[in-house]
Amino acid sequence: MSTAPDVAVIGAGIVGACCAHSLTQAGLSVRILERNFPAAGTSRACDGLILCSDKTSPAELALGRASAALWANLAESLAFDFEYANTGVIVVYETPEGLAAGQKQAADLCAQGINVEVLDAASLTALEPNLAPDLAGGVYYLDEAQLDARRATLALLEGARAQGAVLEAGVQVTGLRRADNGRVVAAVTTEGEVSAGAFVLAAGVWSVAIAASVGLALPVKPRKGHILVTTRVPRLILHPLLEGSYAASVHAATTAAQVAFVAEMTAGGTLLLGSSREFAGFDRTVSPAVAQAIAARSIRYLPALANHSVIRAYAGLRPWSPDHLPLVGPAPGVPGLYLATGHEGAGIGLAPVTGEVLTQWIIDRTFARGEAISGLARTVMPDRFGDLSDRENRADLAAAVAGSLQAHPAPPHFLSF
Amino acid sequence: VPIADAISPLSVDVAVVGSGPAGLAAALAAAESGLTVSLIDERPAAGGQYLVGNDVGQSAAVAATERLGAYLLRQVVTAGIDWRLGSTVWDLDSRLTLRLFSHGQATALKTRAVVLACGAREQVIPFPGWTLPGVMTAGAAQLLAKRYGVLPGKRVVLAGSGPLLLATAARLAALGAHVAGIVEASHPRMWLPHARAAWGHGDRFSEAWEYLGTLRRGRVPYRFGQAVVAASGEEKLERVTIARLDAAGRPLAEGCEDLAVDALCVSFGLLPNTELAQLGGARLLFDPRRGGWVPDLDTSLQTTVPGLFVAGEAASIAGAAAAMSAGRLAGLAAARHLDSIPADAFEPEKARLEDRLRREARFGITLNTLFAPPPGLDTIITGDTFVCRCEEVTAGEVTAAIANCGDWLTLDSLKIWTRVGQGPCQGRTCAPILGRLISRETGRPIADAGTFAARPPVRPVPLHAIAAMERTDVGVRQ
Repeated sequence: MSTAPDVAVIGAGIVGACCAHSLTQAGLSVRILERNFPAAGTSRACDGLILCSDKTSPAELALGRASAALWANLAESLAFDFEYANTGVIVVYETPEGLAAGQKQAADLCAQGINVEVLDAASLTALEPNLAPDLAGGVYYLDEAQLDARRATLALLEGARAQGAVLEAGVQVTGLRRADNGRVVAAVTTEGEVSAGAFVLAAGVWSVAIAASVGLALPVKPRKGHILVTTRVPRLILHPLLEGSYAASVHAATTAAQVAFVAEMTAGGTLLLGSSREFAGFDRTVSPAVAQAIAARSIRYLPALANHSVIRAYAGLRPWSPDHLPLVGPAPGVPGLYLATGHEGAGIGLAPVTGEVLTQWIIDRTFARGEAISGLARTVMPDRFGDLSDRENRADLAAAVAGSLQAHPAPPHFLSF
Repeated sequence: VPIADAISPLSVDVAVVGSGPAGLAAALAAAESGLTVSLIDERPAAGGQYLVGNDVGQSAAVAATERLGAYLLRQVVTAGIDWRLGSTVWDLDSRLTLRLFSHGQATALKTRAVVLACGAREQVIPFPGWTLPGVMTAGAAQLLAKRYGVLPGKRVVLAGSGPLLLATAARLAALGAHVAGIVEASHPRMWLPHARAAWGHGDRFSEAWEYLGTLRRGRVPYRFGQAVVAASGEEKLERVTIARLDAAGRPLAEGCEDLAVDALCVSFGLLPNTELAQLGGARLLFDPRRGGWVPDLDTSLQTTVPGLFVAGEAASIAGAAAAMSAGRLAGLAAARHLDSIPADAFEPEKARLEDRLRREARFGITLNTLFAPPPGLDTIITGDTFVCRCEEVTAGEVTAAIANCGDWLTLDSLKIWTRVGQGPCQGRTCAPILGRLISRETGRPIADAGTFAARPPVRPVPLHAIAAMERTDVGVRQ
């Protein structure tokens, strides 16, 4: 192996790819360590929506907006096409009560500068003729975008490699080694040790095991989500569609599976149908029960889908964190290690801002580049969960997790199993 | 064959997937040992690819095997087996629950053991023009002729390698087609070293001899050491270009010849269908002698998943006789696994079947080795040739991605890069082609490219059927 790079990024999913890209843009030398191949984990088992409309806290919204702007720039600047499209998103509501709540949220977001258009039943049908005729209405979020998450990962990695980053695939990091002064100096891999000036842990749900090797207990759990893929159904929908309770399902934190309708047309003409959220450990097998619920929910909103076929289904493990914000920044008490995980289902959307914040931490801890980025960085600091030291039965973390579960009970109409 | 679909148990002891020679033998063996058995086939009639159709243009040896198969079929009909014809298996989970799609409905079938006897598919090495109407696989032509008496065209060329070309040509000629030639990539001078393996397989030779007789009478030229390197025509096939191959199987530029035809039947042998085994969690290994990617099996034909067995062409391309022996062995092994027959009854029968299977499979292994498409032949896959028909991806796009991917090259990474394998067939056709392309471009063994991950549903299933599944079908834990 050649000389040690400035930074080793662990994980070549969307988050690792964005970190590697930002770091090389800042002039650092980067080596990316991927145990399988790019986007082999969660980044190939998800949809590709870049959402601000589902963000319910100011911190989330600020991150989402910053990241959405970065995606638009990346779509211009990266050579590799990743099917980015400014499609907007329509949130659809079954009932007048639901629509009223949706309108209220739309008004809140509108007041913060988000472009929205409230749709009554007739204008909803005009925009999306294949939606069920009995819906109350919808809200059209004009600025939302979509992309192909797998191709976006490749695009960022190619961009990073063009500037000298080295991608090593098939290299599994099994732990980290610290020097006597406590600083992380090497990643222990299946191909020997890799030294670097700093380490970015961007291995999604698999970050937990690697962090444990230096005594950190990350408050991150795998939250499983399913996608069904249909045969080509060109123009069956003209915008990505979300069911009104989608945002609530994001924030609900019960252990039971919940399903909320999401549909996204890919550039190839297939439809990605979601969504589900459940805690099921590291099991990635497709649950027929969840597939059934997604199919039923999809037909409820898009009756024309009934006779089209599902050609495959898959499940991904999204890295859940207790407060629905990622952990991005220095690992508490472990110099040389930076965390970039815990994005749950917002990993695609928030990956670029993650890369920017992390790069800022590594090149200039004083955040001289400005208040904006330092404000974002503060909201995602890993030390908001305390020192994360790996004590048996950590009371504070357990309380944080339990508190979060109580704060967001599942709405009663969610399909639970 | 009567189709009794009335009894619909939600669970059976043994499910057998595929009702060809292997599946029939497996179902019968399991039923004889007192187990409840479901025999599932996606076709509306039992018998698989092999036991269908008429006797026109078929050798006496094949007819004898088919008679044996037909006898099996009769036995199975009277053995109290739960028939599920016209049922597609689209999921198999690690608890051995099958999910079926039949007559517009998706249902689940709980099992205690599964025998996969889901056969093989044809291998094609693509070349410019292979997607033109008029170009089909030899197996498709066989099926059309066997089942419906339909010919692929008036003037037909068969190209590729292996005995299926010969059998198909004989059948088409007997039905009245003008067979303008058989273009065989291998050459008899390569066969001599394997002559010993053929010892004791006189029936197979008499089969070949009869076919050759049919073709001689029809004055069909057999071209050895040659390949069809292009098919062309406006809107449909009009002519094929035939080239001679050098010792490594590479087509030579000089001496190419055009033939005017309206049908081209291509076959480069068979590949085992492995996606259900994969979905069930079984480990695969790459063994070209058995036909490429095959399930890793123990001596009882059990996969690495306890209770999941594979028999017949789905495990090893070795012909119908071997498939029947393998099916019987797998059916008995499933019964032994469920403790339905004692070890002292099973073991001697197993030893006998193993011995028979070894003998029968030896010839198949020899054929697989002899007629394996030579690596040099992969140069016929030009840059503008489609390799993934579902997503219309060309070989040029794939080789560009291969050049860029570097050391993280696998089929799954190519799928992300180029869309290959993202269509409804889940890469069944393109996966082996991609493996060969990766090998051609990188010089690494085909096995290094791996396989596509199998995802349910392995066959397309309408949303309404998935949505209507009962809670018992989706396996909700109480």
